[in-house]
Amino acid sequence: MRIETGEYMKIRHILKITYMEINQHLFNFIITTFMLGVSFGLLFISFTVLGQYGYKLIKNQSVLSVPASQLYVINLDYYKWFSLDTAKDMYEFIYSLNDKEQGICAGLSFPGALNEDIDVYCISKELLPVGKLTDTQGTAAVLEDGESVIVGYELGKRYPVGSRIVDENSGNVYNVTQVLRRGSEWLPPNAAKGGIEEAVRLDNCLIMDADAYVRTNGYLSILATSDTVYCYQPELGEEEINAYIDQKAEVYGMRVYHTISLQKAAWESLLEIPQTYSVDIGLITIMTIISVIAIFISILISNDYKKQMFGILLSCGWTGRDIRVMTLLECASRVVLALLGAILGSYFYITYAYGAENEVIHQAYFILLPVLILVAAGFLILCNSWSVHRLAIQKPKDLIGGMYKE
Amino acid sequence: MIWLKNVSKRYVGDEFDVLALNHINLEIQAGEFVAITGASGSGKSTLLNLIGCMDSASEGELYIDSLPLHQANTGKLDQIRKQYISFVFQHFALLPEFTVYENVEIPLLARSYQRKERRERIREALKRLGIEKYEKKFPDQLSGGQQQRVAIARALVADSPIILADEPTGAIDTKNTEQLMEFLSEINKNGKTVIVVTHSDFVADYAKRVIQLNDGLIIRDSGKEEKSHEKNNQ
Repeated sequence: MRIETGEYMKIRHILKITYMEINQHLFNFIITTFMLGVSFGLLFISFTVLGQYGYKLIKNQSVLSVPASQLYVINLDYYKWFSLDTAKDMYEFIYSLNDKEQGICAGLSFPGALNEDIDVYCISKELLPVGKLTDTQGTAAVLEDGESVIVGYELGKRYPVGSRIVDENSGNVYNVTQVLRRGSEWLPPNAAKGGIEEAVRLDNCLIMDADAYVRTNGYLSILATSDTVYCYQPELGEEEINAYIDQKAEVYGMRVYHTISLQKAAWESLLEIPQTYSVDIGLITIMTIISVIAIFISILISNDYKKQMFGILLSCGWTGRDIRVMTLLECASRVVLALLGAILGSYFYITYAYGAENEVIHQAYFILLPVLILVAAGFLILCNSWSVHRLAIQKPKDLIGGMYKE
Repeated sequence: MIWLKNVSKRYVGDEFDVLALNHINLEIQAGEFVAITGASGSGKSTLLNLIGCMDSASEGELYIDSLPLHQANTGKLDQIRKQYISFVFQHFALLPEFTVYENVEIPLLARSYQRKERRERIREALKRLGIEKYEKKFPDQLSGGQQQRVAIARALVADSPIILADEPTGAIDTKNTEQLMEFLSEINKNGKTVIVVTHSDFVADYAKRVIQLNDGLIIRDSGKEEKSHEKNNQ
């Protein structure tokens, strides 16, 4: 479509008076834009946090490379983690869940740290990408490929750096990238009261899943581990899996509290959001209401000034359409600026709060971006419709109000 | 030419029903200087609103240069107003947060003049009205007389063929009233049609034709009287 010179001039004059109008009320403009931005930002953050569960739910996606609906989280007796003997029982139990014939794989997103005569504990093939070993201090091997491992001193005698360990269960091969110093041990955070007695000796361990680094004294510092036990079977339903796990648990004297598929867990998390984020939701609601009212007041209602301004403009040769475009532009400049601030601000916030590596939340962020833009567009249309309505219901002589009297 | 044929305007509300104009017939030729007088509520401002495309008639036909206002929708009325009409209001109707220059610029923006031409026209109009030194001032920094001059400059600058003034002297003193009417006379001499609504006989004396309204009816039209006088003389 070709824009005629007259039309071009018209756009310019509307832009000019819009600019003049904004410039006259700059403080008001900045405040209301800021408030709208905060409100959009909060809305966006909550959308994103909410969206990650929704995203997982819809995509049926788990942290592993298997469908979330078929990946089960097993909640066990928690104290088992803290004592070496019971930890061993637990590992034995988890190990026993693996059944090639039934296609069941089990493992844990936890360092496979074991002692004494058991040399290698591996989790099965499907569960391998469960975690990353990140070198946070620059002293440990950086393992993000799901194939590299660190081994303890004793194990290191058989598997020096550069050698390979074959998992007899799954047939996976791991590359040894580092060997721990003799006597290395790890005290799980929750066993702090038990002191060194409860530390896990790492001489025979194989570490494949932890946010860990080797300290300069050769000890291993594990910064963060997740303690989730996973179980995967591509076909079995929740009841069958539960029955299978209960049966094994009985043999190893384990107590299983709860087994739930990741997809179901995501749905439950979604339902819990109104309670978990009630303060945030309240804040968003209040901010949104305040900003909407503030903008309505400043753009449209502001006593009789705006009404008279419209009347004056009409009496000076402006058309109703010019005024509607002007109002739209004024409102749009607020919304666009606020949206821009909200997009950038909330992106930095979620990156800071949830970590730059949280792919799901970032994916949710970008998927929800159009939703926020739609919300902003809806807001814009609402404001403009209001002004159109106001103009439509009044005649120019009524708009100019007290300045034009009978 | 402005032509009104059997024009009525009725205001109807929940508790009132007022016939502001009652079957008015009127012709105003291009270049006339007309004063519309009458008591409050006689319908003079209503008449001005109709001619200025600020309101629409309940009944009858209105034409400006053969353009039928009674058949025009709001958008068309906007266009006709833009092409033909400039207003001067009793309380000036200036935007208080815009400078004198910006206020005078508003009609030119609507008519899509280039920046350079806008500047020339504004400066010329301000100079003509002797307020060029106030171009950067805001309306509330000016006296009533000066503000009314700004309002006239704003009406002049658009070069509209019809200037409508509703009680233009109502908010200014005698000295400024005289100056203002001189300006309007001068504008009229330059070929513009000037229609002034006023209570004041002093103001009406400047007009070449006086139309007096009462209860929505024209009770006196000096233009018609002259015509019939001329007819009788012939």
